[in-house]
Amino acid sequence: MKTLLITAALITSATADLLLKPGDAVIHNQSGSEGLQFDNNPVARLAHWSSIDSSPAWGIETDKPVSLEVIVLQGYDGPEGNTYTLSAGSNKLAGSVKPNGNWHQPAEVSLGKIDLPAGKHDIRIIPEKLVFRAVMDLHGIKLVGDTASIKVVPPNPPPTNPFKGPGKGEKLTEAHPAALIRNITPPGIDSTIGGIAFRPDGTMVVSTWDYTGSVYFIKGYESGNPDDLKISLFADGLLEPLGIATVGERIFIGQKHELTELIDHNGDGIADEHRCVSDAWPVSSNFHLFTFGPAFHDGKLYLNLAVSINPGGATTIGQPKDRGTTIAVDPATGTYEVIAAGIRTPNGLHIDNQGRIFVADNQGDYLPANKIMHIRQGRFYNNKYEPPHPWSEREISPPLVWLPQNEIGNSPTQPITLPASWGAYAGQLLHGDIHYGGLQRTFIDEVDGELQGVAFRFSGGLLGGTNRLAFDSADRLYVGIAGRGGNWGTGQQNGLQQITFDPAKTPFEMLAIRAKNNGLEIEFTQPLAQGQGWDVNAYRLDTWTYAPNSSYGGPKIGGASLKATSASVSEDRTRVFLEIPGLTPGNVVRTALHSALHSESGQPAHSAEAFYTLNRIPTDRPGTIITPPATIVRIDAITEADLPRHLVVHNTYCISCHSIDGSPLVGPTFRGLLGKSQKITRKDGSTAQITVDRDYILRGLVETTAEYPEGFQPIMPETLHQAITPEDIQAVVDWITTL
Amino acid sequence: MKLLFFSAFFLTGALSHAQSPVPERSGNLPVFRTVLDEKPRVLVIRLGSEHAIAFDCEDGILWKAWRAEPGQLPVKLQGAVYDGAHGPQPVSEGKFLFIDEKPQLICSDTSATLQYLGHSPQADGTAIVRWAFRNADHKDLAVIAVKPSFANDTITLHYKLEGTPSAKVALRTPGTDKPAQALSTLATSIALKP
Repeated sequence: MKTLLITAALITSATADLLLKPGDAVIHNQSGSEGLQFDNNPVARLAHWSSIDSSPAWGIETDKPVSLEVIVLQGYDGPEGNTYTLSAGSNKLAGSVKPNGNWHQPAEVSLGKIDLPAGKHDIRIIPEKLVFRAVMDLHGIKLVGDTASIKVVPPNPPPTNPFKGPGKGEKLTEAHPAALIRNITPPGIDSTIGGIAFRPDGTMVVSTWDYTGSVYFIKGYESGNPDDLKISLFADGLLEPLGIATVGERIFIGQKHELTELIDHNGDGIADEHRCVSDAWPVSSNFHLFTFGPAFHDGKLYLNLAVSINPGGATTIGQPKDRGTTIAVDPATGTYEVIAAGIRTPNGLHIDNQGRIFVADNQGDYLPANKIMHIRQGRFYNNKYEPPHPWSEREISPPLVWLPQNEIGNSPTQPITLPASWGAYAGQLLHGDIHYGGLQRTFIDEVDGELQGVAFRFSGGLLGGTNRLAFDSADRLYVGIAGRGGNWGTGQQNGLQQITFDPAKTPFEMLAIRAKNNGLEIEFTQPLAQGQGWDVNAYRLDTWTYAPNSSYGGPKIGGASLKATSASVSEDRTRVFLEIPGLTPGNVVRTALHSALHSESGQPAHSAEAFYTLNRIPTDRPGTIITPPATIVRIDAITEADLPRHLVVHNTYCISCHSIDGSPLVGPTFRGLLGKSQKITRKDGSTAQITVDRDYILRGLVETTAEYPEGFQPIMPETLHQAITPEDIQAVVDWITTL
Repeated sequence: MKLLFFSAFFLTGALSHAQSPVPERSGNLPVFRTVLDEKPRVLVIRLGSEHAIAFDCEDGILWKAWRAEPGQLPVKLQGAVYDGAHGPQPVSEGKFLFIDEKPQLICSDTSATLQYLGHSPQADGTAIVRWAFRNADHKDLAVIAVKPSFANDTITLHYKLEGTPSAKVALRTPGTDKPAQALSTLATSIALKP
């Protein structure tokens, strides 16, 4: 009898329920002040669960294997259709939210059984689909079974992707560790910087892209203290001056339709004459006929002439002569010659001390991604229009680097060569981006006499879109900030910043990647830690190409993962040769480093992702394969965290124009879109007041030109739906309706 | 001592601010290049508080003259650089004034072409605008400077040949029976009618 009683007691104990209380949950991605949170009024629960990106988790610890039934306490008064997954250790249970007519009185919904070994486990609810304004009110999770050995403990942080983070898959948010950035925005010049140059006496010359079209002289900038600035107005009334070149004492300005010399005849610091050097190229009134430059080289002034486009982004049919070209103007005669054609919106022109011309160009039709080109005489760079430029039948020259849209660029701007004082980076190119922001770096790799290269993110931490770069005589870099809404704007729309560089603070990161016959060789700024670098799982590689066509932008074509079959670390541990079968000439190869990879001093990589434009695979420089030493540091086989598809699509195609937090960007925010009253303009010009529903959101993805909302431009890419699978489109629509 | 302290304070305050002799500007500048009413390569010169004229830089003619509504600007600045809008460009606004004579420049060397040379801002808020007749060897045969003035609803264009011209230049008024006027220094008044 006694035995029987004890047994009964054990049975009672073993089958006691354990409630994972709402107040003990740790919430990941709270998603704003009104997102998922603990609410004790009138009853304890997790409420305001308006985003499927939010997930609550509990931790439990058991000293023996347990088998448990999982019951979710859910209160919900909405339509059927919300679904979720409950993960517990390696168990995954599917759940659906049934309406029970009361947010505050939960229904008990059993999801089934889980089996957990001894140890610590996280129990997390991950929403999958949301058809109403909230997933549910979650009143806890009841575990039924042998719970006596279970303790409730804090959960682990949600899984992270070792190949994601600032500098790999995401923008850099902080300044480069070796760069000291100072804000020296001149008082009284509240404007977008269109050009920066220096006179022989060190005076900085700055032009502003605004209604005043001004040129200023600035002295006292060296200290980086805006209080030391001495500013004077040199000229104004210029039309969209987007570049300056100083040639000795002479100052040349690129106006929208003219190359102009500003002349101070009497030396009083004010331009007495705006002399037209050349307006030999025909123009129209189209808003997009920008002139970028000038850059001076060998007696000529070089300019880039943008093509005419229609509002919305399509290239205008019928262009003035020689649009989409780089030209060289003879300042003595005003005549010009075309250097290269097939260019679209080339808001970046740089000629290095070897006379090499580098031009940045923006994605559009016949331009499937952003790029930097090495401009060579007589070449055609793929951007076409009708009627065609006479050079459009020439062989298409590939870019120095592709800059995939929204991954490492959006509207790239002026490149500049880094000087010797910038240490390991000397000779590389830096360029800005007026929309993506920050500074990006390009290492130039020469194969068979042609330049190709690899682009890295370099620095965040700047005020806004980065438009112009110029070095002073002490190699301090000046960054002109720009933006003006539309496609041209991120962060602040104006400003001037100074960067002083300390090479002693150069962080651990990829310095260069060079193509080899049989793979890629990565060079690091510092030695890898002893034993690191040999494990091929430390590198994630994928590849794709582009095909210019009449669509705006273009999807990646032939995307595929690559796998290194060996990784060979050099004796000094600063280089790793990755043997990679299946490399294809003409492709971009993306290389990301695992977060566990670090330097000898223990630093993780500052910027750990690179985009190599493999126009050519060399045949005369094989990579050396080295037998690994007996002991190497292995990185566990990596499986990329399963990022929900809607976030993959959003991060790739939507994020630069549509916020999810209500903040205004180029396009309407996704937050609160469903149910919003919205005036729209249809393709035929008619207007209507509508309430945003699921079909409207769907049309926004698959019929992008059908209509557009009041207050915005009709600039959605026409072929977006070709780049996204129908399943992903549905996932994005589902997700937007929850925000 | 107290006075000295305050003086030092003010001195410090004055020096701690960057020199910013940047004039406060808003609206239309006195002289500016623009696209206007769908014509590129235009130079606008404001005359007084309400009137404005626009030269077609490519043709060397006075293209438009108008009077803004009281308190309004003569040019509505719109477009990417002005208000972020993609597509529209600046337009003139106000009451247009009829120009019954638009004299054109002609050159004794008929193979020479007219080339815009730029402008020089003037202290009175106007500008001297220059063109040249340029031959096939890119030599400027004659440089013509034009300065507008405005009084009593009449615009006067003051023409002058600069330097040592190697060709003769005249003003001709198409559509009229006026003979071409040889140019050396010449003031041509153009009455503006409402």
